[in-house]
Amino acid sequence: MSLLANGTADHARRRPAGPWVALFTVCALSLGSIAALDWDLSALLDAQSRSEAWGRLRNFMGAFGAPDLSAQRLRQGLSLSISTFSIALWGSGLGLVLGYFIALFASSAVWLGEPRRGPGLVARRAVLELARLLLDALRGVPDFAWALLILTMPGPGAVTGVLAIALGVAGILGKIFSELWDAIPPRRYEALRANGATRMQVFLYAIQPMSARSMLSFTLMRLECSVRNASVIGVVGGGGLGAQLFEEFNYGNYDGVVTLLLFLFALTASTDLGANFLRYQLRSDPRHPRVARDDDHRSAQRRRKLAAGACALVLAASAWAMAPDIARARLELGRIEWAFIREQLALLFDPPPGTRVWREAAASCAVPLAIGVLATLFGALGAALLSYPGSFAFQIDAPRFTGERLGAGVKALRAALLLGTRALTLVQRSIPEVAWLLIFAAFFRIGVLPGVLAVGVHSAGVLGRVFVETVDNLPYQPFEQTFQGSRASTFLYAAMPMAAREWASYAFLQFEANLRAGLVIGIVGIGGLGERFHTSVQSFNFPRAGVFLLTMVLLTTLIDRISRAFKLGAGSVR
Amino acid sequence: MGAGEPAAALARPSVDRAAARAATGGEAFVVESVSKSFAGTAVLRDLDFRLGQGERIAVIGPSGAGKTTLLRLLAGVIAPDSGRVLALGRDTAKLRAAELAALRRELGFLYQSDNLVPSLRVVHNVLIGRLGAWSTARALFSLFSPREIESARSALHQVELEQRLWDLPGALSGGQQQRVAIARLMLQQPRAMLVDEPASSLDQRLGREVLALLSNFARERGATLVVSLHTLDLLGEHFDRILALSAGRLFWQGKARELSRTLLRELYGAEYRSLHLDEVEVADSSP
Repeated sequence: MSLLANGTADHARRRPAGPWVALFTVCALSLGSIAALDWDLSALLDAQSRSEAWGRLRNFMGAFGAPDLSAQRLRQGLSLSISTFSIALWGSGLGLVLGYFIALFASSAVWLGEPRRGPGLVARRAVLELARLLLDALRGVPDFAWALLILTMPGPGAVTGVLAIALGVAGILGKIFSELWDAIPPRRYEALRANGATRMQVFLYAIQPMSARSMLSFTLMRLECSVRNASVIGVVGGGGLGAQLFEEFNYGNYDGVVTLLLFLFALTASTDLGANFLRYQLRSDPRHPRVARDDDHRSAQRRRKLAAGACALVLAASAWAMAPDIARARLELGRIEWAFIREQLALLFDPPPGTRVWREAAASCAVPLAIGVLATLFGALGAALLSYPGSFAFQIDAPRFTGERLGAGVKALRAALLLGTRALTLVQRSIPEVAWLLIFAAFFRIGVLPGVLAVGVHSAGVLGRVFVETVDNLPYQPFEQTFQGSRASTFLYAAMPMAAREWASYAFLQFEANLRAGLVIGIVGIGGLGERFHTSVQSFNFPRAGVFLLTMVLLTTLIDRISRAFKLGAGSVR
Repeated sequence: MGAGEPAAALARPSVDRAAARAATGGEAFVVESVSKSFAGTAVLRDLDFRLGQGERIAVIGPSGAGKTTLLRLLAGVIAPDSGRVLALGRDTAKLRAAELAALRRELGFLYQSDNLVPSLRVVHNVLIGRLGAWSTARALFSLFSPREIESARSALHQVELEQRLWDLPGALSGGQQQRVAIARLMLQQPRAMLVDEPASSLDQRLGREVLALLSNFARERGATLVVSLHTLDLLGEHFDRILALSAGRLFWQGKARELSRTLLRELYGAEYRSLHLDEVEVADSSP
């Protein structure tokens, strides 16, 4: 028997059904989601509605050519933009501190440590589960819903926005930090344990430093999201650009809407580009095809000090910008009858008798779930398509693995394709879902179809960037081996399969975000769980609102447990 | 695809050898006064040699001699700083993108490791050999429902791995992974194969088997085979000619039986002992 035959016997595998199961699952989820939603297609199918829709769209698009550029409007836009950024910055800062603290108790590597035995382990496990549940609760309730609850105290304004965003950020960053800490292989800090280091020492000297770059990268991504959320949270009383934007839209002042949308875009896009630049500086993989420049300790220290100084300066400036809002909130809080507020909030945990509201809550989950599924599929597919023209490796750097010697014309064409794709994804993700909804609603009116389109288009922009980053971080050797004349085939057979696992993790994280977006646009008027919660709070029916709030938390907890079971969390993303 | 097609795909002549010979004077690669530097460091200096169509060549030399760079130059992945490289009759530095793509379809690669895409099943990894002949749409569809499965099975049969068609590469040993990569070359049917240290991650027995497979396949197909080897215990009788590189220069060329211990000692210098080259059997066996 030849050497080659060794190990080949008895290994015959049947053709795996994976691709067909995946296709069937996607089709079933899509069809189920389509069936679960109440579609209004009259703007497409009914002649009169269609003509009205075109009229609305013409007005809206016409306003893009003639935005309101009066000095008063520009001053207003600038002031609201500064307020929006301050809300996002302080919301993220407070959320970061709170999330970090809770994550210490939610991470099994940090809180339980090794060996997992001895007295007190049961109690420690209970604390771990409680911390995770708290993070689920903070994350499960979208910032729009937090804002609705909080504004009963300091009233509508920037302080409500800051607190609402802080709670959401704490839930999300807490989960991500704990997953990143748990994803570090214990053998990498075994030596410290062997030397007798305590759990906290192992955390401070091994786990935290090893995950610091990823933590900072995720924090910057979260800051971007906070700026987007802060720009629309005013819709429900959270201050910033959103309140004015929604008001102008409701009055049909499209020229004002467009001016505010331009301010919103300038703010979110510049934050996106700035945060992306900083994240790029954090890249440290020595195997990366385009390794960052060498760095010495002294210049790294200098940059760190500069960054800390800049952060402190921006935080102080933001606090100064929000000073009038803080003073107003303090005045409001001084007037509050806390006993009444406590009584009202306690009602959240006093559900109405019977199962009717619970059944209603369970049924109303269909809307955010269906929107989440459809928008995530739409977004992931769109992002996968955009990741080829948007990839630096495949458009600009391809000669390094294809050997092509390109003329200036072809180089310019590829650069234009890359920049065009990246600009498209920047626009897609810089405009928050609620603002996209207002744009699509100019044609369709607010409803399910513009809701799915809004969340889907935004998701394609968010996922487009991270999908491209994943591809651009791959080594070139497999591309060189696979290239047989077609970059596209190399992309399909080397880049895409190698990036697939990370893409799936990002898509699942986006599904969670889209679920929250489904709740938020429900609050704005599409229906489902978000809308029911909104109407319950507005009518001061807190026992009913409590049931819907708890349902949101349960929904997020379920999704979180699924993602942990399939290892699709932040720890699986490099 | 029908059952008859795979056999046809494997058996079809992939090149018009007569035309190729007419264009190159029967030479697969011509290297003329080639130099190449990276970041100011000269890796290859003033190289001159010709490799015939169907010839089997081993490129030997110590670490840093420029073996891998030479293979990448022959493949057209990098261009020389001076001189010229003719691959299958075409000047690699002067090819337009489409012409270079056409050339790459006729060249097969095998590296020392990581030849397979880990998240693709064996069948897809083998079918990568057909990408040059497929449209992008066909390639995309095949990812979902593999085309030309029987061709892949037939190629895997030749390396005795047809039963692992649906496995992921992670389930295979290092030697089996190299054989899957060879099955990919068999499916591609290149006119020339450029192989970079194919046995460095394998034990000696498996290394010999892998080289024998490559050598036999090249002989049967009349394909040119260029293999870089760090050690010499695998040279055996598989190669028509040896090229020895040292510090980027062509140090020596000849047949395996003409290698002498003195030459090896001079070629490998400090590495002679660490590579246990004194255990390699050569014609001149003086200590």
